Amino acid sequence: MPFLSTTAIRTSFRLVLVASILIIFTSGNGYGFSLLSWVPSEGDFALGEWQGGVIGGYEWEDQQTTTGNNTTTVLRNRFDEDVFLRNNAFYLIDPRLLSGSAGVNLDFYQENDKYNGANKHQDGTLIGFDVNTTILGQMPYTGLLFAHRNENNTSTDFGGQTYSLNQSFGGMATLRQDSFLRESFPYFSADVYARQEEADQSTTQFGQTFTVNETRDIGGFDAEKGFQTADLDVTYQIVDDSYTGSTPAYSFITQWASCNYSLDFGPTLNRRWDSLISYLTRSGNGVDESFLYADEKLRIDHFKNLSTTYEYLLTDTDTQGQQDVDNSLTLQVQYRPFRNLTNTLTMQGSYETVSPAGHQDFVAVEGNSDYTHPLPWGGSLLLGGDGRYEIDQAHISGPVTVLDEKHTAPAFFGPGIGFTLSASFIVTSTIVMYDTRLGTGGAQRVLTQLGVDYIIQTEAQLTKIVILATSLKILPGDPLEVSYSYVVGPDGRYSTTSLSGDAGVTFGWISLLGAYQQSKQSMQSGVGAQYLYSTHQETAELDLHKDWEWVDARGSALYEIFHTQSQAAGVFDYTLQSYGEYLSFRPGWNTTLNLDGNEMYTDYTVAPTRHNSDLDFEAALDRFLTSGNYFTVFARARQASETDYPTETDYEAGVRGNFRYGKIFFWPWLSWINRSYGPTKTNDPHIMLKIGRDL
Amino acid sequence: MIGGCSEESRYSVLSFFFEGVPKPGQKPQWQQVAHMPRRPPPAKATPTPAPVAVVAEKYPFGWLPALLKTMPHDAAGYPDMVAAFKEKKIDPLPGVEQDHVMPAAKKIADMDIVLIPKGKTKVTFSHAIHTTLVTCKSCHQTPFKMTTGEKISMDDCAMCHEKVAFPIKGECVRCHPAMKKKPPKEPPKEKLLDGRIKLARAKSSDANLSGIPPASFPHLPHRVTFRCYACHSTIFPMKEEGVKPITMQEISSGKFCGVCHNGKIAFSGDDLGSCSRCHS
Repeated sequence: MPFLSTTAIRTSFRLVLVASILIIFTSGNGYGFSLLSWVPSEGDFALGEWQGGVIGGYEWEDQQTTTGNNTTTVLRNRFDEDVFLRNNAFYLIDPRLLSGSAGVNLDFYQENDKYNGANKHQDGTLIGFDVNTTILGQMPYTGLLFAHRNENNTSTDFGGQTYSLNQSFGGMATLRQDSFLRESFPYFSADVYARQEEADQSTTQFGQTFTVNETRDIGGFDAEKGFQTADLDVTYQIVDDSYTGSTPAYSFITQWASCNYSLDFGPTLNRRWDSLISYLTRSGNGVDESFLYADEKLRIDHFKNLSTTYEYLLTDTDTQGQQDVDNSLTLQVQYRPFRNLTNTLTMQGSYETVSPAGHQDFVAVEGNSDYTHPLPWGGSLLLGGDGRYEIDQAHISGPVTVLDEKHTAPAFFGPGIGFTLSASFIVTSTIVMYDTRLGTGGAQRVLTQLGVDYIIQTEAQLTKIVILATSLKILPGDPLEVSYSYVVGPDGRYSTTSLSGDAGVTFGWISLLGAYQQSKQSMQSGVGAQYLYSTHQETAELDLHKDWEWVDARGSALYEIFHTQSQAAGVFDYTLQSYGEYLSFRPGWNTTLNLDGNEMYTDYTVAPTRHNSDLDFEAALDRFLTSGNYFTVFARARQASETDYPTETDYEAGVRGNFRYGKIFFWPWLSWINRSYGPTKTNDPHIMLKIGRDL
Repeated sequence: MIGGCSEESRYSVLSFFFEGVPKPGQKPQWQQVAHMPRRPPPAKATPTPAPVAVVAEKYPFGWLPALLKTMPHDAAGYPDMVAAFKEKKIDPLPGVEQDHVMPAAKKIADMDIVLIPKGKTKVTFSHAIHTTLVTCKSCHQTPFKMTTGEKISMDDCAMCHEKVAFPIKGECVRCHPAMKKKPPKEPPKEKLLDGRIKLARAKSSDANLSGIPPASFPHLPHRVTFRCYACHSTIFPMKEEGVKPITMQEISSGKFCGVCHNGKIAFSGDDLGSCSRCHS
């Protein structure tokens, strides 16, 4: 039930707010006056340092979007009033017995907008507090208690209302190494914790109410024990997640335990064993999932320049009836015959069962050498080479399903800018993508749509997701979850031969590097050769950097040729050029000028040929005035274009600052954005001013 | 090919390309790896020390205001410490009780020195009362040299007699008996009565952020309990120059206030609830 349910209560909060602002700005001797001098600070309960302030803000934005003859306008006028107050380091009887901090904040806003000339109004209230206490903070056994609550209420026209509540409370007990156990059980420390988190949301629009209530109970412990030559870390956590509301309720219990142990042994402690075992299980609503991970590693330093490593890795994933068990073994010998030459020989084997699809295994041997040599004028020569031969046997039928692969939306949306999915030969019609900005559970995941929010680009055996600039559901940097199926590849035995080499020279301010790598797969028996592929890639890179007293300059250039070929996906080639420039100018009068540019051009040379470019230029001038006062003038231009798709162009310019006079501060912000994507053009001037006063 | 060359040729070729090539006649060394233990072995259990008997504090709550009421006061209203000492209203200890053994009082130089022999301003200085309370070094050779005929200024006496001892302004008759008694111009200042010394905190101190106020030292209860030389200048120098900062770490390790405030003689800074007794 909403904490603020009546207009009277909300109005009273506003009166308190307005009265507070009036008192603070008009009473006492101007900005030197402090309300906090009235607060007593002696006795068994002593208050610590006060912090507080009031902030008033105004924001104006006039966004116009034109597509052909159709124009959409959004005019925003928004007022914000915030009050916050907190006390840090209060204590009861003695700071060593109980100390803490507590704060409260009240925020209000009123927004009057015009959407295509039609008036809209909304206002909101945010009330929050937090309390954090430490009990026996200087003792080896410390307790922490905390609670926080934020309640947000937004009203819109025609009775629309959104109420949201976020709150948590809990505690943690800590036992440090210098506890009473220090002699009988030395080097032991532990944390035990329990907390509850709640996130409720209720939206009413046109007489209908949609509610989402999520409660998470979390408990666990983490214990560490140190020995003379070993360390042990044991962790356990349980999460009870229940979800009720307008959509079907669900409840999950997730448990996670892990044990991490490492030991030095041998006559000169030259042998090290690392062991990590982790188990996670999630059950509820007819879903049972488990994940087991075990990593056992033994490293023996025979001599200072010769070591061997033995590693066994087990992953067992059981998801909704599909079980994937992978056992792999690695043996590595590292030998350094001279100080500037390191050779590594690696032998690897793996056996994986995918139930009910089948099994696959591989064995591989790999050799690697790295060499450095000093050159005149302080330079150095770098040489490296790597060769790998691998034999795979795969007996898996049918496509394999990947659930909820995690990705992040790029910071800028434009043609050709996106991310590549992990698997090869993906069946693109099976791709389903969710935006999880609001949460990963149930109705909080937002389903995105092909052609509206993103497009799919196939690059040989790989698949790339490109987010469309016109997407209303996905924002830059959003977390995304992608599910899909992929064709498993050949059924039989095939080999993969990989070779790579690199050579480079570096001096104080310049470095030049060239690299080549190739890989080729060959069918030895069985069927499915059309899913085998070969690649080769050549790269040349030049980096320059130089620092002077006032100037820091950097530049880079990269040229790359990529080729891959398979019977199933055909030939895919591209050449890539990438350039970067950076200049920072710092004259001696508290001013910094930064210029940054990045240009990338990609030519896809096999039909259907296309050209992709991504240009990004940014300039910022920072001027520091007296202590704490500064302003920044900035400008940015970015363009992403690709054959077959409209060009995305963004221009942004503005100025922002921070000015303080005594306890009063100003934060002005002016910006202007001009964006075009094909026939759609957006013009968006934006002004924001915040004025506040510290208590 | 290199294997067929002489050792010198082989060395010169290999050392051109590689670092750490063994010199001719020198065999390649296989150096053993030796790692240090991650931690020292656990310390042997030490016998539990015998519990320390905590001495109950001598002075009950409110003892000082009660004492001040019984003490003689001068014309200005300040407690007359000398009269109180002579009337045995107070009995300042010569030193700190260490393990409950009282240190011996030092020898008192019982003599009067005539500073101004006659006239309205004639002064006879009582050496006895001063040597009862302070050490010789507190006054000699600065500000008073031990020579005859030395010129003495009122400012020299004011080094103590405006700060902790009775004030010289308005109390002329206490040194110059020939002068007439004057009524006090203003009532005694509360601070001087209480003798509370507010200690300044270094600007760079981390404690500034903790919300705990700087310490204030109640001088008067210490003064009626101990003679001046119990603390000055072995524990606390009386001059501002050369005074070292006082930190809680040093107090906990038995320096400065920690000489007595160690939980045995007086309450300890480590006792819960004791912070506000000094930091308030």
